[in-house]
Amino acid sequence: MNSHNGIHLDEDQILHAVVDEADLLPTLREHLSACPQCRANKEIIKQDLERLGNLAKRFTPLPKKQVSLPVEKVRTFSPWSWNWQASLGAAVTAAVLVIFVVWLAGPFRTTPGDNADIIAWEFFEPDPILTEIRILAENALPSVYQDISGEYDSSLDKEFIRFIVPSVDNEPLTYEEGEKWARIC
Amino acid sequence: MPQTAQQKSQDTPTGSTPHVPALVEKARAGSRIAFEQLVDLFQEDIFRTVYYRTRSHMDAEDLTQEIFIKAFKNLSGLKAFDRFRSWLYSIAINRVRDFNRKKRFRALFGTFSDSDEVIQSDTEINDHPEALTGLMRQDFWKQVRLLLDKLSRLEREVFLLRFMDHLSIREISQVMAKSESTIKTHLYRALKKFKKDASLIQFLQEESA
Repeated sequence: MNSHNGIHLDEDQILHAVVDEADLLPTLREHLSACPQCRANKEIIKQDLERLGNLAKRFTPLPKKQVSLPVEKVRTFSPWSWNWQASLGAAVTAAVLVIFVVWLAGPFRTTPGDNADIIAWEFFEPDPILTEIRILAENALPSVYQDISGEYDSSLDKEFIRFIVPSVDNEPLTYEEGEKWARIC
Repeated sequence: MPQTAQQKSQDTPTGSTPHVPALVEKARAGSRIAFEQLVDLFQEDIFRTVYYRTRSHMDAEDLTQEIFIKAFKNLSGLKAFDRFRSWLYSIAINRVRDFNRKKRFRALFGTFSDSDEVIQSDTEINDHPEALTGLMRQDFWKQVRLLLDKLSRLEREVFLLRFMDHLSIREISQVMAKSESTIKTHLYRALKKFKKDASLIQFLQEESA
């Protein structure tokens, strides 16, 4: 009856043949090609499947709307198109870095903002109170009295001062002076 | 109506129209006209593919629109021009899967009624001059649904792609991103269940008689 153990292809083998006839063993393939009954069995299943596909198509309505495409063009490959987001990110990062460096350089820094900044500020800037103390140590008189004191007048040399206020050692002892000294002793 | 890709694919052993790769290449280079020609070629096939899986005319139209827009926007990612058909089907299958997942989720909260399809079908039958055809259509899809409910997800997808969408085993393996032997295994299992579905087979044989 056939060339393969004297029997026809069973249902599983027929189904394998429907899926892909090339997957059958060569002897089964030979039998299938030679045996009208096995071919008919296979054709019945194939026809049922074909009807299934045809009926599905027949019982499916046609689309009423035509697909409408967006206005933009089809994207094509471009060396700039793939990394615009990365480029934007790099630009923003660079801008932030530049601003930070410029801020550190200090032209925009006016006054210190908090305690830590005050300490840093005082470290670099001379303290006005200390400056004032230093000035007072050099000359405690207010500027109003400095002219009267004549301390910084170059014309008032030692001779003039001695003339105005003579030394005690150079004066002759008078009676009154002698009495005075005698009373003290 | 232009000849669809499926009709043309029956003339070619590779399952792809001969000028599709050339159109894809032009579309990829920026030709809108070339892509519109691809839409003309594949719109009906994709619409049917979606309809088989959603059984809703309105949803199928909306999803078909979305699928082509997605293809239009992502065409630059397609490297092998001769695989456009399977690439397009893979977009369609994934989109329908997402849609069905959301539909099931909405059904959980009662915001989606599965009976929309029946209402629509009834309306279509009443409006249709040939009411008998409408009844046959309803009966056919009911039988198909009963069969598909018996199949696993992969068996169902492979069965639909092979016998209703008419894709080759190689194309199905590209769409599903699985080996050809895996596809054949699932197809064989689906066929066994199909062969056991006496009512559907009877329906099909009565139709042909």
